[in-house]
Amino acid sequence: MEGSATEPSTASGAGIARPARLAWLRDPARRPGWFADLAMLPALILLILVLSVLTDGLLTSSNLINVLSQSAVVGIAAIGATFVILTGGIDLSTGSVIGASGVAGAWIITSTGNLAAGIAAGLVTGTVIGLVTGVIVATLNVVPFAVTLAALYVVSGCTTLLSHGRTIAPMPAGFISFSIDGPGGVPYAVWLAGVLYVIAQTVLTRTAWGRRVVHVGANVDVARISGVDVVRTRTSAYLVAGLFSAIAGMTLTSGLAGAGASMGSPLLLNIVGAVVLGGTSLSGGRGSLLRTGIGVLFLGFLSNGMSLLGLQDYDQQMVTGSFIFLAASADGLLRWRR
Amino acid sequence: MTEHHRKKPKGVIVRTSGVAWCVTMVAAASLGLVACSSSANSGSAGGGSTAGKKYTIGVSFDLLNAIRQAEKSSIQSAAQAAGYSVVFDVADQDAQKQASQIQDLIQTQKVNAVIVIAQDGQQIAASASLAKAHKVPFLAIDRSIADQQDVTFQITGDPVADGKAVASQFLAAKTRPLKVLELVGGLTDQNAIGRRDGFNAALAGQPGVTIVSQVPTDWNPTEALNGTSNALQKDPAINAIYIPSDFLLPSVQSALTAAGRLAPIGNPKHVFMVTIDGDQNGCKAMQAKTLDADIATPVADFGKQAIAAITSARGGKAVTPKAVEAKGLILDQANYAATSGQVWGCASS
Amino acid sequence: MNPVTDIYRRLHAATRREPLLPVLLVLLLALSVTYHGFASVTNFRNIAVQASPLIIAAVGMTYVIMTAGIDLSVGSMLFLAAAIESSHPVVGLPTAAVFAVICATGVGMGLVNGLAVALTRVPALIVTLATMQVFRGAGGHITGQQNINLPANLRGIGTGSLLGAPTPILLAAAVALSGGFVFSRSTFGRYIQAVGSSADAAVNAGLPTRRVIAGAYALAGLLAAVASLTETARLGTVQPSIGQGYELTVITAVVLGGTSLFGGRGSIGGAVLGALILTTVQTGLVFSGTSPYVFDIVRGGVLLAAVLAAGARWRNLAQAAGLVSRLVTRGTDGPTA
Repeated sequence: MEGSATEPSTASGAGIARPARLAWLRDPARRPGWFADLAMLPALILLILVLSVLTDGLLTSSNLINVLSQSAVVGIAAIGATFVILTGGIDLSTGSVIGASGVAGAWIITSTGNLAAGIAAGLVTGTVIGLVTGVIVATLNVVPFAVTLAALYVVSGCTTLLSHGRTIAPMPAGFISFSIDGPGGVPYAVWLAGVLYVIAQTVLTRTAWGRRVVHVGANVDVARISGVDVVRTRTSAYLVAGLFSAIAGMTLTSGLAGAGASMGSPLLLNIVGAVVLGGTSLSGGRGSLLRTGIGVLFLGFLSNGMSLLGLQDYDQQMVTGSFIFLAASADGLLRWRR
Repeated sequence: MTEHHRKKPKGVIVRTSGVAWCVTMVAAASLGLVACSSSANSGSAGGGSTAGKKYTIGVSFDLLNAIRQAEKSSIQSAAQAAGYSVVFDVADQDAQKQASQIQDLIQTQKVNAVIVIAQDGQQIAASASLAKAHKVPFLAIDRSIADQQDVTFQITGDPVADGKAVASQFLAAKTRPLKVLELVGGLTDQNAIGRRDGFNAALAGQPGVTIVSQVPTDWNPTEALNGTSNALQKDPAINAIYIPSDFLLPSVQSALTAAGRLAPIGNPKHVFMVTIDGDQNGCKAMQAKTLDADIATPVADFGKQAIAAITSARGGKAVTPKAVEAKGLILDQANYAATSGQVWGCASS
Repeated sequence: MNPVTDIYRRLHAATRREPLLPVLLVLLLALSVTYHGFASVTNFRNIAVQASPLIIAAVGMTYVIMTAGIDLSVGSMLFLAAAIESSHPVVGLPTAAVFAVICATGVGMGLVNGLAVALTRVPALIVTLATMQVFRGAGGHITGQQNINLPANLRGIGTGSLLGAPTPILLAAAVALSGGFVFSRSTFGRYIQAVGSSADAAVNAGLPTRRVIAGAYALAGLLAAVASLTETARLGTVQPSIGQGYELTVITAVVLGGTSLFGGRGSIGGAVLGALILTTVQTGLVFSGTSPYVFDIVRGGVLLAAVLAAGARWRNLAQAAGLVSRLVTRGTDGPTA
């Protein structure tokens, strides 16, 4: 019969002739990495189809661009969150860091008038906070949930204190247009997010550092034995998360034309939810930016669709919660047979 | 050979059933969405194009609670009287979500006008520009917008003036010395900041009236309850309390009751209290004479004037004045009989 | 024997069992000395009453975290239970019936979490993240996001007293004592620890793992409902923002108490002490007249200090210092070693 001799799982069996071309599809060991990454894609497509039937105008080009630009900030922050979750950790302080970076950057912009200095200040703020969190988690071997929860309170409190709770505005017109104008009608912020995703996915799959991150998350003891510097890898994951939260914070400041200490807090749920929805495992070692991207789009379309449907506020909460659970359980079942 | 025989069908079935499960669940959830949306649409214009339908106003609230429900009714009844239909969105105190919802209202649902209660008066500017670019009238109620250039009309409260009004109530009180417990609302909330600053500024340097304790509540009833108990414990000489919104009033009353200090005016144990907003609890407390004054938000005005402004804008007329600051209506024990009819919380629900 | 050494020995043994006890005592002492009026029966009673709902919810959360799970929906369960309590069909029932209905609601909500965690492969974080939204939405639906005042008969559980002690304190004490008893002396308690330490080992040993996990979440739901009854009775009104962010406070108390988020290791007594310490710190902040901006920073600092003191491996700090200096001086990323 057909089929390579080295693939017993595709031989004979129930006597049904199956083409050898698709043999790789049925054998989990031979599927390319990105195949598993697209596990949530059918659910996303189905969601879009259902919503487009139920609403008017979901699939217009202007609405599609809206969905993308509405998802950009969460999407960028979710890149950093993915790296942290891949190491088996979690970062609850993301929302607070978004606020802190935005406020720091906005403050420099309004007090010095220098846009570049402001952006740099914002990025440095987020990165430094990420570094400190990472050092504490990685070297002192404390549970990331607890440490980043403490960081959430401390960072948010400090930002509110230093800004006196006020929103810092106005921002330069050029900075604001970053989130509005762009080639093809798609805002620069969305292009930025896209480019960052491509870069991040490449770093994850093709650099030694990316492989170390996954290795540490998959099995920290084996990683340590094989010579990976676990402390340094974990610290760097949180540092990267801080950096991406800062980029998200500056993008949000551009989109909202101002920065406030609490502007990032409501986003934490969406960020973690998107990573988890996309299929990255919370215990670490399995996942990718491609998955997170699908998760971000899923939540973005869901939120947009519910808004177009005119769902009541509390109904929207119930639907979002149900979908997060359904998507997660479907994904879990899909991987039941590993 | 038999292993493969068993394994393969199972693998296929689970994988297929996994996908089937996924599909079924999303479909079931969508049916739920349809059910929800049909109940939501019965009262509003629903999503989608409104071309050819009634003039539709998109309303974006920052959150939903008792006073927002009153503001919602106020807008709805005024709109109904004018023959407009209304779509409501609530942003859960998320400035970015509010911007997204307004974007959907303007660009996809193509509403004819937008009324907002801004989560953040600075950060709403982007939405105002968007509305202007689409030639959609952009109106604000309750919370003021910092940059007025793209706003068609704005009717808001004046939190600083309300805070000052509270201070003058305290200054007018006969009791001296007056030791005040000041409850502080959300630390990043512009209304809370205004009400706090107005109050503090008016009392600065005033002899006989001192703020002895400032307790953060983050607009959380439990924190207000615990914070008030603690402050009363720390300083039993406290004989006045400033409550920046009367939705926290029940918490303060419970704390006073637990300390045995909730008493009506005239009783030597009475604690002088003033609050802002004018909800049902505030009205009841005024009737029971445990509350000395309530600076009521003119909720009915918000709806009426906003809809009137939209009608003017439709007719091509520029709206003047463009920004109205509706100071809170002072309801105190002296004018209660005359004024309570105008307070939204006193109207029987 | 020498009574002093006897007392010392007892204290030493108690401290080793509950390392937070001296922390709480020192904290109370320091605050009493620094602030006039802190050391009074009324104040300590206030602190205990304020801590009571937190203690009740923390006991439930301890069980859940002990199974290596987590429950982010506690705040929303609090709100939904309150919403149902104040809804038309329920609020008019006789007091005992209302409590029964709400407790049943709590078990029901907890079972939703528990069955989802036990029967599907979805991590507890995601399940309870989802139910957090669902429960709050349901509660908002029921209350219409309005304030609803509770009738007097439902307020006794929060404002009344029995035998001279306020009811909330008695309730919290009862929950803590029975929770601790079940934890250390019942089969269920031992199973919880086994499942948390190693789920695989528990399955291999033939324990009814799924029932144990579902039970832990159901218990947490029940206790969240009890906490809700107490708290709304104290407040007197059901409001849309009740319970928002509460889960983080409860988890903070449990983690403070020494329960490991990895599961398998924990202490009910620790959770109780953690709740008391958090509440004492909150009260102390009011007494100190600190600026409102600082409250959150202190809360985070206390949690961080507790976590570092409990689990940190301080010898790694040297490695940390070296790492930071390497990063700062831009050491080359050579072969990992």
